[in-house]
Amino acid sequence: MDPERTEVRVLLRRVPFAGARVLEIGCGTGRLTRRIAGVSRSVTAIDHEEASIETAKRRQPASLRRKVRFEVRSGTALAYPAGTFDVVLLAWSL
Amino acid sequence: MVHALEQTHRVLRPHGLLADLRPNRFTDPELAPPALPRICGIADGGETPAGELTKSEKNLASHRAASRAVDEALRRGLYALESVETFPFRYYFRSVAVLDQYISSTWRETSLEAASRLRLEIILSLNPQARILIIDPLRLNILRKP
Repeated sequence: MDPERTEVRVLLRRVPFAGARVLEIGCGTGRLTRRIAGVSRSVTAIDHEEASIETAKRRQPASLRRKVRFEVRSGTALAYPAGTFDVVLLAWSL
Repeated sequence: MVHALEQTHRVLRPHGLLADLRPNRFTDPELAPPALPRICGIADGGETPAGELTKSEKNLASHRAASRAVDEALRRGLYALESVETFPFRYYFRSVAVLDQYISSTWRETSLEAASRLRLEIILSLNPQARILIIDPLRLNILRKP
């Protein structure tokens, strides 16, 4: 899947992830999360499928554990204070 | 879906960015036909077209609704559209059986029509090194909260 990494290159070119507090909605197993977390200040990655979140947690490198938080949550139930994030990524989820 | 965009608007700081990444099925949700994933056989650097994957009506309706929701959010002034970029997303499969498995496990609202299947089987039988390439058009909308 996308061995050319076109998707990540476009995202990193177009979205100012550097130093940002990011909410990723529809993170699945964390395929994109791992790529954007390296440059972001923090990433809250959510998905409504519990199994996907468990896989994402297992695959998360130790180096990113302090930056990334995975949660089982729907994109229509965002229980975060207003103005929490600099960037929201709807990852194949709208 | 507009409700989801209202939620993201609330949790974004002022002037924060919403990046909406998804298949680019409908450049204009009111116009048919949809842009479907293209199927090719690839070998020796060349691509041989083998048709398109078919998506269910439910799947297409969902994509149409997503595009309409973004249009509605823009009309209501929740966001301003900063940029749109479209690009190809590629999947590679070694055989029709592997593609079938992926469709049944992951692309549940997708089907491979008989004519495309036959073309792929011919391409793969003529060259054991050939692979299957699926090219799905993606779209990245960059929206800014005022």
